[in-house]
Amino acid sequence: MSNKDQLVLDALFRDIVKFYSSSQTSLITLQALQTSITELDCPDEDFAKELTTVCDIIKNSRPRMFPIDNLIILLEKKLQENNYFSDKDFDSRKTAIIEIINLLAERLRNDMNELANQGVKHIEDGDYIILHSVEEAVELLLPMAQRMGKKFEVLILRQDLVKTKQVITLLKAEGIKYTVIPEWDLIHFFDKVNKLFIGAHALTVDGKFVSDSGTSNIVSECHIHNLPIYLFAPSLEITNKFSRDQNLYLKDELISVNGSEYNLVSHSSDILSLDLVDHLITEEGAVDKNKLEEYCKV
Amino acid sequence: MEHTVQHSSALIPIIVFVIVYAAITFELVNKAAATLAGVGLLVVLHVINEHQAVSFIDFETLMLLTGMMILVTLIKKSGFFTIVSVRIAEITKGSPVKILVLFSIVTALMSAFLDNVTTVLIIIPIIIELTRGLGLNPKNYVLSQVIISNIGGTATLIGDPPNVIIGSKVGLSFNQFILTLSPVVIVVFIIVLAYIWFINRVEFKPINTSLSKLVAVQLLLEKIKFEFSNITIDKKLMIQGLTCLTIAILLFITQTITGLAPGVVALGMAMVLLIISKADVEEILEEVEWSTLLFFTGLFILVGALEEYGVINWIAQNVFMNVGDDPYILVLLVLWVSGIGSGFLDNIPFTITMIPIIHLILESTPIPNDILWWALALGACFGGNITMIGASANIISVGIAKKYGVEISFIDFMKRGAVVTLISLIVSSIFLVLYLRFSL
Repeated sequence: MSNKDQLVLDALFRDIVKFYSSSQTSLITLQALQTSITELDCPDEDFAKELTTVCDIIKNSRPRMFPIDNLIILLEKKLQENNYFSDKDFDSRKTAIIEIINLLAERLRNDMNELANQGVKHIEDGDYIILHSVEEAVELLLPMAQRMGKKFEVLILRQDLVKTKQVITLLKAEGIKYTVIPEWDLIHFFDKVNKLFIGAHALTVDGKFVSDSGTSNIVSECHIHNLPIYLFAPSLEITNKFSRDQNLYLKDELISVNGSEYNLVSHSSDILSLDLVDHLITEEGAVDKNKLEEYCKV
Repeated sequence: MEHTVQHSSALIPIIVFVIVYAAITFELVNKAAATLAGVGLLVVLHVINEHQAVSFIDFETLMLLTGMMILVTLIKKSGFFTIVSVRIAEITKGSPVKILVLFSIVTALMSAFLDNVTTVLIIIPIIIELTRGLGLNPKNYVLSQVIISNIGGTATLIGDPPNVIIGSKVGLSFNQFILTLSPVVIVVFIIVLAYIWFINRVEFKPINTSLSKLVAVQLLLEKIKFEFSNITIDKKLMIQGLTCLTIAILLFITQTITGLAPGVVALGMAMVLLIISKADVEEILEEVEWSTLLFFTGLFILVGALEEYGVINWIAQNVFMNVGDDPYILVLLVLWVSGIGSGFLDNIPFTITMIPIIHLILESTPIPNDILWWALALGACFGGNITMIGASANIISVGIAKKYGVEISFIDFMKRGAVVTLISLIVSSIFLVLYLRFSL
């Protein structure tokens, strides 16, 4: 595996997940894989190796990204079951693999739709919901609730400017009423808000979840104020690996402001305990956060 | 006009001019401020009066530049250039050679029909995102696009400031420029592109043999589409803007029939677009590069003063006409002096200074088919590639690249630019010698 290819793809995953939820990022990656297989023009005997390489890169991304990580594991299983379709010619092999990827994408889409159906049950008239990042709740649940005519408002906590802008764009497009505040101003709104909606990049078997950086502060603050915390995630985000294996990315960048320079060190994601979450909602509805292993599909 | 230097009185405009030139070259003060301060000094010292100063200004050039700036600002506001850039990025499918070739073609065409600064402002950010995202070295691609923008701009009257000045002050038409210069520009473009490919050939390997690289390209295009397409597209303004630009270019082409000068056309169409688009005029005018226009204004006056005092005549007689009256030598001398001079000085003041000198050379040694003017245009435009300070687009590009974390040093630029200029000037020399041979 080329270390350079790994670094390039890692950086792209980190960037794309700023604009989309991890589920949507996974769909985009599957689409990218399909197009790339169509365009691949390598020697016949290298095809399996190329597939293995790209699967390894995706599974080892920094940070690990779910559901794509699990979907790639499912893809590999299928490939191994079929011996990488080695009995077929090059083009037929491509077609067969693309067909599997199509089915995986379809499965994820169905899970996302069902997650929206389940999630929307937790939105009620008069809700004032806190959001801070582009997650499944922003992309799926709230638009569906708005279309169903539910009366609710959103409080957007501004952290990363790119993420905040995207949340605003999505809510605006659906005509959802929102207010933007800096994250540190949340303390003044606890008498108005009644729910916190978050998403995750992964739910690990040791009872933790990996989420966008900045989630930890908000969850902790809401937990202290007894605000109900809802975590929405398709079950394909549940991994049988531990939180310490999630390859968090540590960024060390030189910042220059008005002639003053300093090194800024930051992590790509937060790791939090599921104990802080009050409701874990998957496509199967509200699930027991203490029995994650049972819901793991891979 | 005097034909000898009025020795004692000419000393002041010469000193002022040299100081202003040094201040511009070494970027000691803002260009517009430097030239206008120089003009102010000449007026205060009674070297010229305010009426003379105004008479030295070439309003045709200023009208053409202002008009094009307004047209480009409104088209840019419509989102058209972003759509084009993202589409090109998609077409390249991440292939390094396709990135180089397709972006170079777009850059050359945009530079030919718009201004180079606008072109690099649009192209450089997207090419940095694209190449960096693929793990390629963005510096090579940034440098190639700046160089190509200077080459593409050479092809038309409106492509590069030296051509705007030459066209307006000498009365050469849009068609004359494009018909005469585009063949040589196309040849130079192809050779330079081949040279850039050759020196970076290790980086230009095809990527469709690697699945991980292909996946990276797809994800990168998704990212670019998101980042660059997340702007408001104003279709109505886009149609209005492109229609006005097309009409302006058609009127440039039919100049000999309509009798409308390019400056009148550009400013006229800009006003039409401002009115029909109902754009916020104040907001659009804020985008016009007033400092560039004032810089031009000041330079016209400073060179006008030198001309008035016979300094230009003296330079022409003692520098250029000392080499004799062989047209081949004169043409090549103008080409190479302009090329090298424009590389180390800004090519705009250099061109403004050279115009009266060439008028004087032509008075004593008539050279057919405006070949001496073409030598100046080719030299001044291509020469802008030698150094980072040779053309405005170079300085702007290096600045944008730095903002995106891509450092390009003076030497980095010169290593690439000097060779490209050498190639361009050699091709131009062959073209001019052949043109002269068939003209005499």
